[in-house]
Amino acid sequence: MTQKIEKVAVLGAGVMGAQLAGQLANAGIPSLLFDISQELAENGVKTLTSLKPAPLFKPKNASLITPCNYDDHINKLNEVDWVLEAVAERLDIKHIVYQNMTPHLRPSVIITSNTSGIPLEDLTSVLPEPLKSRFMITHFFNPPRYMHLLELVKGPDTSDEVYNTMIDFGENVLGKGIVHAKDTPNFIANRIGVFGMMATIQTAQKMGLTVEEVDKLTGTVVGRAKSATFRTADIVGLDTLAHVAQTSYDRGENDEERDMFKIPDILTALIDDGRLGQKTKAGFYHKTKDRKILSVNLDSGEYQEQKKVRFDGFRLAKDRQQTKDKIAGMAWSEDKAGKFFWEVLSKTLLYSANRIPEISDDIINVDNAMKWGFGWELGPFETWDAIGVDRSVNRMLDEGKKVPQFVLDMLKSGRTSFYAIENGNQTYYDIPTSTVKTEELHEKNINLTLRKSSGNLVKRSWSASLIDLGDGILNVEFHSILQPSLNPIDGTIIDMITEGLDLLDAGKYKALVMGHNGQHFCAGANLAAILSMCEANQWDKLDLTVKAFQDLTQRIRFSKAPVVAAPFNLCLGGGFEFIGPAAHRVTAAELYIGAVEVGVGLIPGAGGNLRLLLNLMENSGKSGMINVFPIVQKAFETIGFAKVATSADEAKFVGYLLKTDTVVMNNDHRIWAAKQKALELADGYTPPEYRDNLKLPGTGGRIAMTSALKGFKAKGVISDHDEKIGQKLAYVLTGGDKAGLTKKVEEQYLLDIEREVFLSLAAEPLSQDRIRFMLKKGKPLRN
Amino acid sequence: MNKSLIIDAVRSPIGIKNGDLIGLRADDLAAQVVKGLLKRNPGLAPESVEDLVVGCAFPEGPQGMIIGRSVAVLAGLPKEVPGKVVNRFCGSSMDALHQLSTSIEAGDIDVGIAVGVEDMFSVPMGGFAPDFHPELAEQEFYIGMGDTAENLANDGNISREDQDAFAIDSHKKALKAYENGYFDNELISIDVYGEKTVERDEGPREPDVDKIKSLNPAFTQDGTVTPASSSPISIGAAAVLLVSEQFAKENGLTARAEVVARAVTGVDWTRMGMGPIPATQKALKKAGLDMNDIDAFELNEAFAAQSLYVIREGGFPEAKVNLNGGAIALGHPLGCSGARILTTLLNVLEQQNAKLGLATMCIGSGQGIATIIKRPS
Repeated sequence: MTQKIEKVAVLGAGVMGAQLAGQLANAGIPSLLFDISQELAENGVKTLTSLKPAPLFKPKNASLITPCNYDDHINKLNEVDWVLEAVAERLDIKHIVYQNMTPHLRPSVIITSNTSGIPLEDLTSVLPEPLKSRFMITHFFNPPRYMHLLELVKGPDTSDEVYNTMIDFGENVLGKGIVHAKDTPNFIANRIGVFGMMATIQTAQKMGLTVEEVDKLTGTVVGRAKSATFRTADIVGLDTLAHVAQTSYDRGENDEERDMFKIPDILTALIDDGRLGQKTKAGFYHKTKDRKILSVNLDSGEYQEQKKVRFDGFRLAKDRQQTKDKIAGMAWSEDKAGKFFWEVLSKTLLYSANRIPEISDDIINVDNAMKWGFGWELGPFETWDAIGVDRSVNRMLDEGKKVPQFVLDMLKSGRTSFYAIENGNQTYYDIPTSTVKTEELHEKNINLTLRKSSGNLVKRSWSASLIDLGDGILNVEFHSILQPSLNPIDGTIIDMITEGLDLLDAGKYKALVMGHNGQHFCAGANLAAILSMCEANQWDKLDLTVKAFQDLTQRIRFSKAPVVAAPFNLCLGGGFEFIGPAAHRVTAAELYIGAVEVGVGLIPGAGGNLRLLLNLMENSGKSGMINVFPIVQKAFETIGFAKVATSADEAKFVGYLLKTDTVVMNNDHRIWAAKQKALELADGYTPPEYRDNLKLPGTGGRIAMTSALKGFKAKGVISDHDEKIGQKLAYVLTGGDKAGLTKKVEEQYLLDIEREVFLSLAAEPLSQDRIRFMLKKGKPLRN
Repeated sequence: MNKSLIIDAVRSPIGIKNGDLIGLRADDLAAQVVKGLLKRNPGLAPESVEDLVVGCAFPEGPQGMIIGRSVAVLAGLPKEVPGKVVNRFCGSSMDALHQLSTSIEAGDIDVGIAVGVEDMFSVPMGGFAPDFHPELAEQEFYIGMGDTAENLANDGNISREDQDAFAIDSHKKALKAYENGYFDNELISIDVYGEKTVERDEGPREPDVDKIKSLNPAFTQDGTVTPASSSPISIGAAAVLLVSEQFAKENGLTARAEVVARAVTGVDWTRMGMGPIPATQKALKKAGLDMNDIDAFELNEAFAAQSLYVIREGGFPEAKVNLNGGAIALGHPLGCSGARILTTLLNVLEQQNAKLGLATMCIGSGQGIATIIKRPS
């Protein structure tokens, strides 16, 4: 049984409380945001539109939050189904707040605390007996819009109904990944994560590594956050970090590594000096007035210029494609980098293993906590598998490290990894029972890797696969061989989609879902391939390539059986052109979508122009038969400025999505939801009609639209080359030479002039410079 | 020939961005102003109005469908009162007055109401579906208004400092006029669908000199024209009641002024802001007057650069120009402004106890328009 949560009160309008109210608003849930004064509460709401990264999907969501103060509005608490407390981390303050709110609550209310370290039983001591069953801990991670993790902790009195309601609401409404934690110091993620940071600092000092060296070795190269160790500490705040470490120390009487949580002298010195990290503009790093970033000397505490970091082990790891291979590369490298990494990693793995069953009964919750709360690509036990359990245990034993008995038992039993895929199921080694168990996946959590391993792989190519999702639904998965995280479009992706559509045509499947479980949906076309054709003057080949891509997008659009696209995270350029023509989109709320071709001196070449026009027409309820100038103008500005929408909500407003598209808050549920939608559409599906009656502004409208370009150039907003691109873009969007107020054009004509303009821009040296720069530096060149 | 007399004139407050007038339909706004005008003149029977002419620069959307006629209906005038629309861009409602006064002088009609209205927030400059002629585009016919102001600033060596000072002055004069109650007789309060009442122009404010000086150029990177020295996007309406001398006598109406001369001219559209110079010369010549005979001027302030150019190159006595401030402070709702500055001019003449007044404005597309009025002795 679960309860309905329709209105929430968030107590405490600090950075965390305000952002929690913000995430509730993103999910469409109204809230009351309380603080001790009206001004503080109002400021909390205001920060939501200025904080970076943006806590809100769109600024308008702030209107769902009502600022309140305890003195005037406490009786409003009887309106809410859930009270989420996020006041200062001091027991005395929390107790005062609890005592004040108690008389005003509904009996059915759920009360949770966002505490990161105060024991549950201490919190509930002031609550009347009936409310203790309504209380639990919901520990969100900052920033709550972006951090997937929600740690849930129940007390001895917490009712199952309350706990299950929070699981359901956290997962389905707020889109969080649930980790079941226990009432232990700092729960799971902060316990292990901060241990790892402390071990890193200690080892770095022992081995004489600099701050920047450590961050290079503990960042993206080993599948961790880009901010790695010290930069993360600066962002979190050194005082906060020390506070969490202190909690682990104070409450860790039985922790075998308790001393690791003793605050190192350098950290104490920095904090005493008021150097708390980003918020004080100085911490482990310091940005000088002339924008130079210095790093602190871990021994002296003085800032110094950063040194160039060079390690063989790093280079070796960096060149590998898969995260697990990178981690293994680092761990087994015999240079200083490798030794450092091994030391920290082995300590962290052993510490994690020793925490079971103290902080969690199983390895899955520990791994999920680190992935979702600290942004690790692989959790500790997955990492252990990646470096080889057998081999690493031997090395640990050789080095005199104490390896937990169950790990030795596991190896002795003949099982060489914590996880394995067996018969299409994910199995894991269950520590408390010393047996192998099958992970029970949430019904909404479709794992394509598991489906493939259970005989549902229909066809595999280099960068994409066709997978049978069951119930007559086919899935095309992207897994680029070139760049696995970004999934740029290559020939094999095109081939697999084509084959998928062939199977639909042949009546083998009812519908096709386009989606995967990777890091990003698709970052666009393969620019390197386009550039090489340009450099070799292979214009016919480029023309054919673009035409094939265009034809494919039209085939997706007019497929007899529906195609449902399931985008998430980055969906740029060609990615947008893939999902646009599908019958429907089931998208993750976190979507960064845009037709960004102008940044590389081009315009959309695979139907993106036609798509944005049709989307904007549909979203505005216009058929394209009457005055469309404002629509074309909007498309012109959107593509012309390479606008990226930073949420699915915003994408609907900009026109990259249709207002009728489905948005799922929880990215883990996306493929399942897409499959459901595909099943729903497949029944009696009719493809859209080919449009041969598009009314576009034509030449006169184009001249009107581009007259603004001159002004932008005069103001220095755009360059000569930008103006040229703008002129050509306007030519396509206004319907070339054939459109006008009394004329109609058809889809293919728009595609033809789009391709013609794409090719002419690709031939421009300045556009080629832009492509080259993007490939080299990963950011657009202004020329 | 008949004489055409101005019996009365009123206007709405002018609304600006984020202001309280936004959301009020242009036709409703204009109708309220006409109703206000009729209410102030109970001696005039509504059925005696023989034409209602609305000047509007972009007569489409809510300003479309022959807004001249729809305003007459919304204002509660009898069905027998006809209505039409005049479009001469910024000179639209001054032209509406010209047309009515011409009809009266010719003896075609005895009573008419000239109205000006524009809601620049609901109908964008350029309209909803601009469609430009390639040849005209080649000739820069569609040049941005800001660019024409930059051209004049260059031609006349008008410095950024002078423009800023002119803009600051416009606000100061308008605020001073409010202090003296100088707008009391020309403003009527506007009801926004029962939700709000707007009684005061939203533009004029104590100028933030440091901010004005720090603004970046609005149109060209190294230009001198800024948002502060340009008239703001706005919404407003004004109406003028005109009758023949004969009609006034027979109905016991007292004239506040007589229309003495009207003129329009064309100029280079890339320097459209200079339009008032030849238009003024032409009007003066027709009336047999010269610049020194005029006691007060209303020169529509599209831009400070444009106004200063006209004043300097046209030999206007600056001390007699825009005594109660101008469009930079008050706003420039395109089609409304002609009737608005004539309304203000009428009041300025009365406040100064002066006789001859001239109102003139520049017009996008390269034109100028001017009107001379005279108070009865």
